[in-house]
Amino acid sequence: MKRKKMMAAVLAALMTCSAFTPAVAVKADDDVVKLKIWVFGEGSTEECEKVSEALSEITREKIGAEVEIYQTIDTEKLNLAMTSGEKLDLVCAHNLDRSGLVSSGMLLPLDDLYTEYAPDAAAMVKEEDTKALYFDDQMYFLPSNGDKARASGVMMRKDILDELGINADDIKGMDDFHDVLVKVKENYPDLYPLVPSWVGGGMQKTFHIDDIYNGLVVLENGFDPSDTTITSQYETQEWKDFCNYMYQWNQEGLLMPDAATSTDNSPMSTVGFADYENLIPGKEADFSKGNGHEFVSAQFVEPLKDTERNKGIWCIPAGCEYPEKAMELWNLLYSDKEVATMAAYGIEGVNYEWVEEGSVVKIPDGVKDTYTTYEWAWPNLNILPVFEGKDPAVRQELEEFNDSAARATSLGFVLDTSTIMNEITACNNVKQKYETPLQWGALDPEEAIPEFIEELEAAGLRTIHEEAQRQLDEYLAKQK
Amino acid sequence: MKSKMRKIRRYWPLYLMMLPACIYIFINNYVPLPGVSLAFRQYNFQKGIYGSPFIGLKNFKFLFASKDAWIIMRNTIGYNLIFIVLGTVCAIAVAILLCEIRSKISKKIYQTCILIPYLVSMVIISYLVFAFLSEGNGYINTQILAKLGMNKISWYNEPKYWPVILVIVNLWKNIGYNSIMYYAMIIAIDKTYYEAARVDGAGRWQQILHITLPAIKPTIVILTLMSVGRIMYSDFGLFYQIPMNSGTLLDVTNTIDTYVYRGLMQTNNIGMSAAAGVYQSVVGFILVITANLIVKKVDPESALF
Amino acid sequence: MYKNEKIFQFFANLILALLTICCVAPFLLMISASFSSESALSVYGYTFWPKEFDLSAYKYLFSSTGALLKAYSVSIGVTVVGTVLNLIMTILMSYPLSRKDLPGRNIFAFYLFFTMLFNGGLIPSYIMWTRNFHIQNTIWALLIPNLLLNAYNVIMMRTYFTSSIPMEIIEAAKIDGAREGTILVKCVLPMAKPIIATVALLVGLGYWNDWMNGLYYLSDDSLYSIQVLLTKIMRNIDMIKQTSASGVSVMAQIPSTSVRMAIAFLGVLPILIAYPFFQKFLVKGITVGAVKG
Repeated sequence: MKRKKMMAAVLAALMTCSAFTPAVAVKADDDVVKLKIWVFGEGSTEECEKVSEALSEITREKIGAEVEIYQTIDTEKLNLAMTSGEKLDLVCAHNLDRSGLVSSGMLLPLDDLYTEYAPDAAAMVKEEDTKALYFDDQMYFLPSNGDKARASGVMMRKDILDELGINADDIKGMDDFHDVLVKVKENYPDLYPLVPSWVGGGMQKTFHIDDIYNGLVVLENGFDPSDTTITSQYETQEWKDFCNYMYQWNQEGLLMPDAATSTDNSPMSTVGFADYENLIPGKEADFSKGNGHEFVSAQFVEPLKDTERNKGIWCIPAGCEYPEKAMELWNLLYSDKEVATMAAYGIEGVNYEWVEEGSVVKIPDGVKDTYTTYEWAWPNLNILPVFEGKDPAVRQELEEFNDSAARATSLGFVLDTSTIMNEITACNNVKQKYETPLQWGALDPEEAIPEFIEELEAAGLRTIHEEAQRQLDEYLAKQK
Repeated sequence: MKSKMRKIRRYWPLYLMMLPACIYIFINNYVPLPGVSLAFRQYNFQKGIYGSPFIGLKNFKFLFASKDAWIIMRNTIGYNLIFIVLGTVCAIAVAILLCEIRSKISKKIYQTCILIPYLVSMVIISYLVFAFLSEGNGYINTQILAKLGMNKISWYNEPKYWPVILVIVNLWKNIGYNSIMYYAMIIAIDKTYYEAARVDGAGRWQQILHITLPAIKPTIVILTLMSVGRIMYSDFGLFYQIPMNSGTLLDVTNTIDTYVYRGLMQTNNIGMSAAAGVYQSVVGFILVITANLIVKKVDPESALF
Repeated sequence: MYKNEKIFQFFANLILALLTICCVAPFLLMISASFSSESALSVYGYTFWPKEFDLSAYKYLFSSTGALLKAYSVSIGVTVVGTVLNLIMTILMSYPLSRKDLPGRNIFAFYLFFTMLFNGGLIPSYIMWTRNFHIQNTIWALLIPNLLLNAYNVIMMRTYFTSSIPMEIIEAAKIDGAREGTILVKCVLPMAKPIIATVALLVGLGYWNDWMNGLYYLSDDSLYSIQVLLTKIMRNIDMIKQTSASGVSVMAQIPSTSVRMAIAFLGVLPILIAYPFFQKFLVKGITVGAVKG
């Protein structure tokens, strides 16, 4: 009897081990190909499943495959899935380290697949826009169509500017901007004149530099083709001036306190008057809608088309079982309006409804938006309808904006970081210590910038620059 | 030999008891262990973990590459030493006080309350700390300093306060658990020892010194040994989330774990993160073996193994 | 002597009372913030009593599709089941280790202790659990990896057994012909209530507060526990920071301060409710154990 009890205890413990046995059957239906897509977004699993089901109806007919959409903005999780070889077929690798993915063999080369299985999309893509998709003459990323250039400047509350009698077009640079901020501080003590764009002192770059790698590798003036000397953002005069301005403004109380460690992702909707933003056609409308006030922008830096905006984010992981089908699916997402709209906005009548058939959508009244992804995360922004409140013509404007923008000197050049990983890691750490506090005026530039540069050099900045210069020169020579 | 076998056979029920745990440990901890070899390899997805080429110690280089290297070592080891010493002393003091309190109700209230911080995660604590220290609307700036007529302090930009803040937060979080642990040990001490001591005329202080402390010594030694083994590790939440990842504070808040996380967040180089893990383990291992040897020499009963 | 005692009691109470206030006050600040309106927070700052009482944070939370209640039930279920399984394994492992007469016990102790120092890292573990055991997107993902046994607890319990349970009792039971299992259940466990209560509390907390397993092994948000939900929100901050830097604006919904405080409060609330009851048994267990010991 006693023994039985004892055995029962042991058995109970062993049960915990039997829990190890697989809890799910892996595959049910072998005939249908199921493609797993990971896209940058925050949709709930339930909605993703519903949309996947509806989308599969269409794709089964068009390419003979079903889809399963997953959304996350957690890049670490996506990294983990890719590194450990989870079966993924089509991935939006936004914000993943591209060079690392390629050099550790996690991606499939795409040249042949692209020409053979994505003819519709290939016909729509301009030659110039594929330049930045290559590593070592192999295409690893798929082109994205959206904003391929960017201008930058500041975004301000329109109602306040109007009350102060200021015209946004008159604000041409930091000095004009300063005067406005001072007036705002005097007249609106409840508002912080200048706030971060997102959490943790987020700030869009409003410099003329051509950023090749995270501020560590840049060309001082992206608009000047004769300048091909690699430097870092932190050694440019423009950035130093900027830090001086911000330091002075912080002393004058024009900046939001604790800006560098803020936890508010949209201070512009509540306590802010202005922030630094990228400017593209339609931005003002988007921004006003997102933040609940009317906003107007002032441009400081004219549009520049650089590698960063043209690198393409979609790729096919090496663990993909059906690369051909994956490419066909991408082709649909790029070129088929019905598929693209459903993938990005969900099911009509459930997740969105038409305001103007084919061009303008809105979230149905009373529906909580639990699916809509970031439209720019999908391959082709230009075939998607716009949200209510935005002029459908904005898609055309964006095309023109892209075409008319200046071309950065290094457009198409992608830095291969595999041999300078140690130095980059060390420099990233140094950057964390100085960059945001300097940009928000929390440190005195007089003292901090020389220290910053010195520490970057100790961390191997020059080694990075030598390597980058070599690669860039090689690339530019090839272009001629 | 034969008698040894017979002995082992005699104890089979005890071995059987250990079986489930041993199996679990084997799967959970030992099967993935060869993965540490990643630290010496250039990871290549197509070749897999165990097929990727060896590159020697190259992955370790970044840990020592910059002049930050010694700062992060200093912070990691320094804070841990303070935590071990201060944490132990305070916890024992509180445990002894708890035992001595007569009033049953207040004893229960104290016990209940001081454990509360231990129950919550660091993420939540980071928000509590922020509620106090936020420059614009934190409790200290708006309610205390303002009323005293003092200037606001930009807490998240002033490195000089942070060693103290971090020690306080860590102590605050862990004191409840540690002292309850010691309390359980103290209260289990045979009461007759104390009665005998009192008969001999020993005061409270002498009782603590000669009965309580010796009785809980094995626990102290083991807890300390285990902390020594983890001296190269740091509580990521404490050093990353509590200071709100503020760049200006890095000189006093950067530890090995946060350094690795920050450095690799963008590049996701798993070889390098594996290297950092190996480095922490090996140093911890050497330290704990050494410490255990010393303990074994001084007091064999208390040694860990 | 008596007067001394009174003074001592006074100071001891004073010190502990101050400590108690320090431990509780920050939570009051958090609770007050969760009931404050967002504007009052930015105008008056954090206060121990809401300046403008406002329930909108809670309204917002409970309106969102019942995800919160579901997460609650996942958390509670996982915590209860996990704690029971873990306790059984911990006791079964630590008791034999505490027996000085057990041949090879040092080898087992080292086998255990070694795991506290070395681990294979996330990637190899992740590959093993997902490829060989397929625990991703099942409830097992929250129960099994790393949490089912903690070497630290085993060593604590072993130490308790060695220091508080006299070998003579075990010897006596053996002479009476009792089996090992009986000795454990009938003699050892009743004397080990304090440590069992303590370990149970720790393990329960481990399960309740864990978010790593959920974050790594779950992509199905219907299985999210309350902590995973909470961490997800906090983590998005980091992710946004990384992402937005590359030039796109991410309007991810980071809840406002008061909502975050409300979620934090809701995450702590069950512990705060369950804990005093638990504490009652804990203290009782400690006292009973001590009297018998």
